[in-house]
Amino acid sequence: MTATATATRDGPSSTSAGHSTFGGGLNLSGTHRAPRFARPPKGPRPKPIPEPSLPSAQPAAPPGRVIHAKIEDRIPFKDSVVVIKAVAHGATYALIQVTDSAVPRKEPAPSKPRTLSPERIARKMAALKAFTKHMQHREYLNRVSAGERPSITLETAAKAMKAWNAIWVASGGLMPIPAACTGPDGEMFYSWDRGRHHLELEIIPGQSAEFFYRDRETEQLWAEDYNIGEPLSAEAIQKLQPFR
Amino acid sequence: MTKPRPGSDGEPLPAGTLVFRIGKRADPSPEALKQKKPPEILFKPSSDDEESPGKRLSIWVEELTLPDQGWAFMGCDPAKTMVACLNVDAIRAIQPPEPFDPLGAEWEQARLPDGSVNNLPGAEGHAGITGLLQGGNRKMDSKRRKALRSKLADAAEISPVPVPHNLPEEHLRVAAYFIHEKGKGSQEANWISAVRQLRRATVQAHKQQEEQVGEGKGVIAE
Repeated sequence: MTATATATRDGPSSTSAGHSTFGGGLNLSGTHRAPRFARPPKGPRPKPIPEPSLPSAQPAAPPGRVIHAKIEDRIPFKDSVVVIKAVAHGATYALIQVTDSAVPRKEPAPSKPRTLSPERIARKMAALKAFTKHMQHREYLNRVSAGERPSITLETAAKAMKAWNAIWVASGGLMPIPAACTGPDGEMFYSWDRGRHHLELEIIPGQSAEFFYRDRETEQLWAEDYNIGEPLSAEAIQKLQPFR
Repeated sequence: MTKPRPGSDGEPLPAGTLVFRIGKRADPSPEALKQKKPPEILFKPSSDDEESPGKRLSIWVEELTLPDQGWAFMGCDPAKTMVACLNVDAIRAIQPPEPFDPLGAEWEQARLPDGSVNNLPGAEGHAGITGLLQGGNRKMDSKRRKALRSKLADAAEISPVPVPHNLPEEHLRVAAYFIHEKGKGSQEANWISAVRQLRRATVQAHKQQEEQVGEGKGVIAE
């Protein structure tokens, strides 16, 4: 007969052997014993029977199905190596891989720490700076088009943002953020300056916008109307080149 | 710098005179403030300028008028905060596009909104830029006028002190006290002198700060 262990608050007790440590009732000889609270038994206290450990007391798992092991452990199983991993908190594990050979699985090469070249760092920093400025510009447009007496209308602010996006895309994402300023009659002025080159975009409520270019050295002047939302003309795109 | 003597209407401003213009509802972006360059629209003559006998763009002589006084004469509009400073020599040096004439800077009698002569303290510094209304209605002339304004904007610089000024009152009190100690002028005149001194000191401090930043950048570049 296999002994089944149970643990109680009062201490271990065996129920299968037919004899209890302190409990009353019938013993194997059939004689009635006094209840435990009446009088303690005389003589030396009997040694407690060692209790089998829990895992060994549980029924054995079918081979190849459930194996108890440590997390990320590998154990030989017949002619195979069994790799196991924990799938849930507690003592439950799942088989994830059984290899036919006894050769242990190859460890993945440790990943190298990512190192960026100075050029790449510079590019990333420039992109971050451009993004920050772009967000600042958005905040500026929101600010000047809000409040009790806004300098420009929401429509002009939206048109300005649309125009800036079109310019930025047409320049291949290389055009710097414009220096912007509102006008006395609800206009928005964008300007770019680089050395001899000066470019402006005037966004006027109810009218088409206007590009203006001036070369400080050659005194060349150029102006063109621009309908915001339409693609930029080839000449306008050409005028963006010096600012990229 | 010696204080210029106010001239009569139409008389040219002395060479080297520092002048400023107060912008109308000009709200610059952080990028524009960083560049310190005003927009060309700031130098577009208003309808009042166009209707005035001299057809000049209104400016003020820095030695005679505080920007805050000029702002008060213009109606204390909270939307007018930008002050653009420039030198008369730079205005006269602007090369006009052919066939336009060069720009000029002349004294102009300050007037109140009702048209009467403005004799309030600071009004004597009123002046005007001539030549910004040349040409006709053709697109080419419009482009030339815009080029002139653009060149004026190149020559100008946004003041780090807006109108009305944002100078700490305690600093002004201290400055006015020391001016009073020297024993000249009325209390109001001392206060105006204190504002002028602190405005100039702030501009100087900004310039020095920029130079230091520029030097720092130079070291990094090397």
